[in-house]
Amino acid sequence: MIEYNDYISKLKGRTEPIDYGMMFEAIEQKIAKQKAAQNKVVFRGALAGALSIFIVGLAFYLSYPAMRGGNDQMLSYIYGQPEITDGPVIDYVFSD
Amino acid sequence: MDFTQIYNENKENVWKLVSRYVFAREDREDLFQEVFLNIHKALPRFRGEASVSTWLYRVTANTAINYLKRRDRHRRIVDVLANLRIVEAEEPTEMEAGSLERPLAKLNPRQRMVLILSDVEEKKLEEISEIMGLPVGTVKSNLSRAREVVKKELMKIDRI
Repeated sequence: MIEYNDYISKLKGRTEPIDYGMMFEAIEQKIAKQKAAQNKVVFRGALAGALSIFIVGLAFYLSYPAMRGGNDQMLSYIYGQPEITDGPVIDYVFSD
Repeated sequence: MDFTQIYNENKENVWKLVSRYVFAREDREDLFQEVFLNIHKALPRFRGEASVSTWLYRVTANTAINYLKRRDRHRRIVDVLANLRIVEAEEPTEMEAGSLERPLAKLNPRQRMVLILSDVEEKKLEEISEIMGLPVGTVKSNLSRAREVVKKELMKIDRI
C-alpha cells in the first residue's frame, strides 16, 4: 500500500530540469507583446479623443454664426432698405 | 526592486512549486511563465507590506489556482463538444495519467494548493493563511479534507 508520507516524499522529489534562460526570453517576449498591445490601446484612445475634439470644434465653428444671429443681420439688411415710392418704375406700374 | 533580480533569485522556488502543482510539461511551462508575467505586472504595486517571499508565494498561488480553474473549465467545454461530436476529445497526457497526479486531481484547485504548501513545501498554517488570504480555520479545514481525499485515492490506486 502506498502510504501518504511516501506519496508526499515522491511529490517533494519531483523536480525536472528546465532551461531558465529560455524561459526568461519567452517571458520577456510576452512582456514586450503586452506592452505593445497596451501602447496600441493608448494610441487608439488618444486618436479617438483628438478626433472627437476636432468634430465638436468643427460643429461649433459651423454653427457659430447662427448662434450669433447672423440670419437676423441679413434680414434686417433686406427689410432695412428705404422704401421706393416714386421713380420711373413706379410711374410705369401705376400709369394706365 | 528589479524584475530580473526577482527572477534570478526565485526561479527555482517558483519552478518547484509549479512542478508539484501541475504535471503536464506544457502546463508547467505555461504556468511558470504566467507567474512571472503576473509578478512583472504586480511589481509596481508592491509596497512591501508583506515580505517579498510571501508576496511571491501569493502571486504564484493565485496564478496557479486561476490557471487550473481555467484549464478545467476549458476541458469541460471540450468534453461537452466532444460528446456532441463537434470536436475531437483531448488525449490525457502521459504525466496526468500517472499515479502521482491522480490523487491530486480529485482536489479542487484551492485544496490542492493548501496541501502542497503545507505538506510538500512545509509552510505553517499561519503562513498559508497569509499567502492565500484565507482565515487559518479555512486553511485547516481545506487541508484536512484534502488529506482525506488523497489518502482515499491512494488506497484505490493500491487496489488496482
